[in-house]
Amino acid sequence: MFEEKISPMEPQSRANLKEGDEDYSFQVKWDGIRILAFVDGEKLRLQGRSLINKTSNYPELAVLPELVKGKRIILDGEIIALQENRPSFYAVMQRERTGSAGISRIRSLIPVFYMVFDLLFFDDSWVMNKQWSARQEMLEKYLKENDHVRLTPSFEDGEILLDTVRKKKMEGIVAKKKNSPYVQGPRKSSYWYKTKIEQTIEAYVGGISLKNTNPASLLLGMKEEGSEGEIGKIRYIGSVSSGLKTKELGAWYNWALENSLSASPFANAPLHPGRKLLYVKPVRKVEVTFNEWTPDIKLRAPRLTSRSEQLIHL
Amino acid sequence: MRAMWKGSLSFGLVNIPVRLFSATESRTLKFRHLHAPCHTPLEYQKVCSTCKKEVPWEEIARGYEYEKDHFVVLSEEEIKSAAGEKERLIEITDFVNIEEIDPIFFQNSYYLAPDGPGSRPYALLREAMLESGKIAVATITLRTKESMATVRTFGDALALSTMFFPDEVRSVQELPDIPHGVEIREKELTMAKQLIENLAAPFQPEKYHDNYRAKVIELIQARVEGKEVAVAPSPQKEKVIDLLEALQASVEKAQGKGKGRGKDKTAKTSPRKEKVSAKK
Repeated sequence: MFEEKISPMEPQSRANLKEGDEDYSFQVKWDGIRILAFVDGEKLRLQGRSLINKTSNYPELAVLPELVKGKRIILDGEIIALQENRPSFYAVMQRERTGSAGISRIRSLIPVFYMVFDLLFFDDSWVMNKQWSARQEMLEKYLKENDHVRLTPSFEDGEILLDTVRKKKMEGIVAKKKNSPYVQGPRKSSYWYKTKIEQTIEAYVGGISLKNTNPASLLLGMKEEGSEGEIGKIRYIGSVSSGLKTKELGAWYNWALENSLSASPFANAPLHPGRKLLYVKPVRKVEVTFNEWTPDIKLRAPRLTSRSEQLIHL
Repeated sequence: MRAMWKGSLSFGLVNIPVRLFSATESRTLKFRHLHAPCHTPLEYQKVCSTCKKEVPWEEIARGYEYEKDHFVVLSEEEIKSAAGEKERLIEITDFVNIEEIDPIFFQNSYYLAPDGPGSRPYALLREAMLESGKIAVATITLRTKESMATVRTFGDALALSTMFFPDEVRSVQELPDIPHGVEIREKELTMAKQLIENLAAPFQPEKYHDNYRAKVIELIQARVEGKEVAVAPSPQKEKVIDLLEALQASVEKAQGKGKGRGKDKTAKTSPRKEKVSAKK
């Protein structure tokens, strides 16, 4: 049981909530790193989607065996990090990438939380065949919570939850069929479905890409927590042109010419084959909406919001 | 200063009785381990796990582990006789130019002072070395280790520095990622050399201070004088509990406002309370 490699259950995607949702309960979708936790007595093993052992990345969870009172248990949940009071994928990715060498430093800068939402094994038996609602009851009964380990709450009204999550600028919600077993991934199961909300972030403009001599897109970057690198370096996360009117792009270009940098302010190199890049001091921010983060920490389908015009110099 | 040992410095047929002193002392702040509730300094006991008792110094022997868990036990006398008569001797074998020795070889430094009648030959050696500009290479046995050492003039005295044997200095070949045959552009090299020129200055060790130590001493001083030491409070750590409570509150508020909704969704939420887990 302890060494078993399990693929976590994956929800299908839906743009909107289903009709007849009495069959479902709704939970917040946590924007973080999916982790299964295996506890056997004092032993703990954390496994990610890639089935790789991630135990040393998250020392905050070392206390899990105590929280389950030494029972043999497999938990399913999401590890998140908070920024501005909501889960930030960007922040938790920095934890995910930090190995045992840097962990003691970064864990005080970016603490993580384990949001538990399912149970696969308990005591001496697999409980994957039990109904979701029964598994939730077992979790409530046997998992003790602490500052870093919490049970994900479930709600009956999906519309209200979705609305609340939208207002709080969180990732989305997941609907879970009350009478359903736990089905391993990676194939998406119809028993769970996720409804995502468009996400919004603020990012620094670190440069402009040029097509021939015309400005084409803004190069975006974000600061890295506790980075050892040179002061002022930001991490490149993508470029945006959608939502920019030609006139605005021109205004950015003129400003960039006056505030240009000879050296790139980005810690990693923007990939724009065939384009010339004009770098600027990362002092101005824009607000962008996007669908999700790519596996290599770039924005997927970013668009500038109208609020960008109002963002001022820092 | 207290002498560490007395012996003789020899070269050719000359023998100078000398005393050896430590030339350096570490100023690193030393902290002691205390038992937190009562501030008593901790004691460390030497304990034998087989005999299950504390071991007095008379029962301590020294052994060399030649194979896991297998020891050759040697007594002090056996080691002394193997080390031979050189025990208290600094034997000068060559005189060389100091530039020929790379600082990587230097280990620890000591001062030599003449012992009793050694004053005149000591002064003679010192003057001769000063005028010839050379330093001496010697072998010295300190405790149980035989070392290479240099003897040179240092102010009015003679300083002795123990050295690593060549096989104790690791090879640079073992280092990863050292660039070889990299093309350097003329202009870059000129610029780099210019930077070096700009920062070139005579060596003035007085310029350098241990700032870290100074700050910690300040803190300790203030504490001793009974002043309040202002420690900046750490910024509020965001807690996920707050987020969960905010979420819960928002949902409940929205449900309270649930007018004009088709279905009457009375709250059947499963609130996650910290102290009490509410049963559905």
